[in-house]
Amino acid sequence: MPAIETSRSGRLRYRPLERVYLAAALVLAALLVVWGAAVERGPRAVQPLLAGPAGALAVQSAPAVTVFDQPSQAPHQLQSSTSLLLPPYYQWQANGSAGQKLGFVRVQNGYLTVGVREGTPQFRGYFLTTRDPFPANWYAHAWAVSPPAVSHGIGELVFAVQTSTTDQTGLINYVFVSLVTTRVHGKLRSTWEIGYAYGFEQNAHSVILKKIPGSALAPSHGEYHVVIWTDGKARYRAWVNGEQVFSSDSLHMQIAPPFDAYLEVQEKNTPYAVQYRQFAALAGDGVTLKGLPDGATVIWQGRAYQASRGVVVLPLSALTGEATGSLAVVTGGKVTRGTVRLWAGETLQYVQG
Amino acid sequence: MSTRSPFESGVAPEEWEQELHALAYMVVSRQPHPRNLLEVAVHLEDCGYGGDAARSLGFRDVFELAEEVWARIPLYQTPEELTRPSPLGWFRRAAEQYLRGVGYTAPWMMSVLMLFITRIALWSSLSASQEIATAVSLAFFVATMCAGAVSQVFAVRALFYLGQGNWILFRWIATRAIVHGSAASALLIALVFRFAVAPVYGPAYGNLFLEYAIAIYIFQIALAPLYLLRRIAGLVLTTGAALVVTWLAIWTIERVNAGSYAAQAVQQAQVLGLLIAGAGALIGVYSYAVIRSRRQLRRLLPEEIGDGPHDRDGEAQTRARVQIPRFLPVWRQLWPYALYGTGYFAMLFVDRVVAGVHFGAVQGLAHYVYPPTYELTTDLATLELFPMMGLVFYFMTELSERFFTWMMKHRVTEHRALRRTLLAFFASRVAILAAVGLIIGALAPPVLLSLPGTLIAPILVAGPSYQMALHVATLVYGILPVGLFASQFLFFWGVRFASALGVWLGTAAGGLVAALSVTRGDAYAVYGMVTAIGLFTAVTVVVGMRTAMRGDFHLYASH
Repeated sequence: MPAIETSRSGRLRYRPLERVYLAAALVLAALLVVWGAAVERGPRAVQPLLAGPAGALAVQSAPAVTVFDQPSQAPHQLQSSTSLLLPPYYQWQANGSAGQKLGFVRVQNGYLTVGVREGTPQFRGYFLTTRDPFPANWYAHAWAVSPPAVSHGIGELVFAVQTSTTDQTGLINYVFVSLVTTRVHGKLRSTWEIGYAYGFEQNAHSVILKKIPGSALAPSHGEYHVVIWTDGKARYRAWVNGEQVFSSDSLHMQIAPPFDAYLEVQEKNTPYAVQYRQFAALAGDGVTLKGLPDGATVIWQGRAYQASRGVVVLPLSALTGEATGSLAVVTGGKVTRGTVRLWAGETLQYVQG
Repeated sequence: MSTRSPFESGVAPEEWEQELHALAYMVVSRQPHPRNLLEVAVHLEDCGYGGDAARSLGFRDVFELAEEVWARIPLYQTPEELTRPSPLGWFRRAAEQYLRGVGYTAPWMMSVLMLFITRIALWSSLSASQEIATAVSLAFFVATMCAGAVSQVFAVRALFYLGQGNWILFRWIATRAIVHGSAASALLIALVFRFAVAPVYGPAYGNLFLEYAIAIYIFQIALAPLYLLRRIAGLVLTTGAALVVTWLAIWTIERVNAGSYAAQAVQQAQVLGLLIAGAGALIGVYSYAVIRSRRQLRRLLPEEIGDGPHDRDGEAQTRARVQIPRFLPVWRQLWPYALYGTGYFAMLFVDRVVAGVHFGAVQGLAHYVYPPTYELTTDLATLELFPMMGLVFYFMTELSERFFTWMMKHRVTEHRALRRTLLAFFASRVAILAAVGLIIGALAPPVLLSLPGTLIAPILVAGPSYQMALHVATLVYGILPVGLFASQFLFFWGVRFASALGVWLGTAAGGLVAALSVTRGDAYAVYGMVTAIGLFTAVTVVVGMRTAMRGDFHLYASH
């Protein structure tokens, strides 16, 4: 059936069926996009942290935490990169100036070991670094075993927070806290060094902001708990075992966020290895419980907190990082109780039982 | 000459003869120098003398009617101006056609060049994070497969109308193929987003997938009419606009955000560049088609349109009646081309997708992750297609030009001679393409591996398996133009299904082989590429041979 056209425009009108098809396709596409957006933003099925007669608590947003509690498999190469993956710790990658022959990483008996097999005349290092960067102003925690002594040469345990934009810019700007172990006139000497480094890979300069004798900070249960916080620009703070070892608001660091954490070893003239138990990058203080029913009470470590508009924020300092204790949710005369480990900055969602 | 006579039609002999003379006059008035029977048939059908009219005059179909009209056409023609062919004519023409074919790769060449210089071009960025590269890569796969189907459907029909100089129907197919195809593409992109992206990747990357899929699709669709109209300058301009807008946007966004927004700036700027350049090109081409079709309307129906001196003040303009084809019958003819357009890119992407899924698995992820070294290796290998595309284009132009001569020389009933000619042409061109492709494929790896270290470092670092993959990929991409030429040859003769079958068979077999070989490492997915492209080429060449042996039959069958 011929269609009628206007003379000047020569318009080629759509037939009714064509219009129906176009409208239906576009509306359906829009609905699918809305549905998809709802799916990707919706809660994901997670194992509840705590479950019982008064409902369950599931982790809605978890901080970046790695507990090295599973033995690692053989590292394997990642295409496009000289780095190695360390299954099942896929969110980390290993690399370093010591190379794959001298450097090694493995997880055994609940500890990550990062080491260099042979001493080298120049400083060489190896590290495990995060593959999912975290934002500025987060608290980066590392729990490191007190490092071994050296019979000669220099060994370093290094915990660093570095810009993750190195691939784009070539800059390796970072802040670090390191424990340097060496022998001076046959006597073992340990020194904490806090500083930052900037520049391109081969020509980076490092600035040591503070040195503290190792003896000034005793390990706790054989471990050092190192925390680094920085905005990447002027502000930088560091703590060891809860004691603030450095604080400044007037630096010029130019470390572009987001950041990657480095669990690292450095050596000169000695084989050396250091161990880490766990790592966490935390957004801030407190643990938020959301979606609680009206009148619900949360009991954490023996203290009760009343839900306000369905929300309770449990006190947990970002500096402390983790806390294990008894958590109970009381609502409608029922109780859900258990012992849990919570991380600062975590958000838990209440799910009706 | 047809053996038909007026007695079979029931029309009086004088009237019958007069009718044929009138038709010959009509055809010549539309096209002073029709080049063959087919063109006559097209004009007859375009003027309403289709199968029914032909049968009423006692002919079997419009082609038989065209034979009778064809015989009377010289009576109404004025002699063509004779020009002495230049001794350099052949070479110049060949060089021009070859360079035009190479020129078609201009957007690709420009973006590769920009990528090497600035690390950012169109949708690519050498410094994108793994997650961003994954989202962009998935968007590229989906958008390109959609655009491939729509461009094929549009190109096949639009070429037919352009051959008649019919801009009205060119506009019609442009709006129908592109608008309808884009609606279907939107639906497909939304389906992929809902069922493959949203449940697997995070919200930020889901949004990125959607943005890039739409932007890449619009940009690629905008290039389709420019390819068809052979506007190489338009292709260069559109690509250049996308690159310039991207860079201006990056510069502006970074300046406004004091450099602390670099990663996001690149993505937003790329999407902006693609959208602005794509939309601009689409509007430009459509406006051009509108102007041409209006001119055509004025030329065809000046008194009805009431333009210019015919206008009278205060009088409503009359409407021109233009018969618009219905889309559904046209679609029934065109869907195999859509299947081919999608399948062609599915075939090219299948090994990459398998390598990406495997790359995800080695990182403990159960989904596709952009495999950078494998992509770089195979992308580098595609560079050898630049010189090869010129040859494919040249051979196809040569076919369409020589075909007219053959049609003048051979009667449609002289099957054997025509078939021998066709077969010789097809076989010789396939052999030349294969030989040149294999030579370039063998020579390319050392050249590619001598590119600046910043570009190829990942391949060198990744070890011998990727260098093996590069050697294999260059040989396979050397063969791909043979399949491309064979499939275009098949389309020329109206053989619609074989190419679609070839690409989808290749995709299925290639995916299977890639999945089996990738267990040795991502680089071994290249064997999937070998299987996919090899099978596609084999199917199209074999069917191409058969078609060449029965070319005349296929030609008639297709019309």
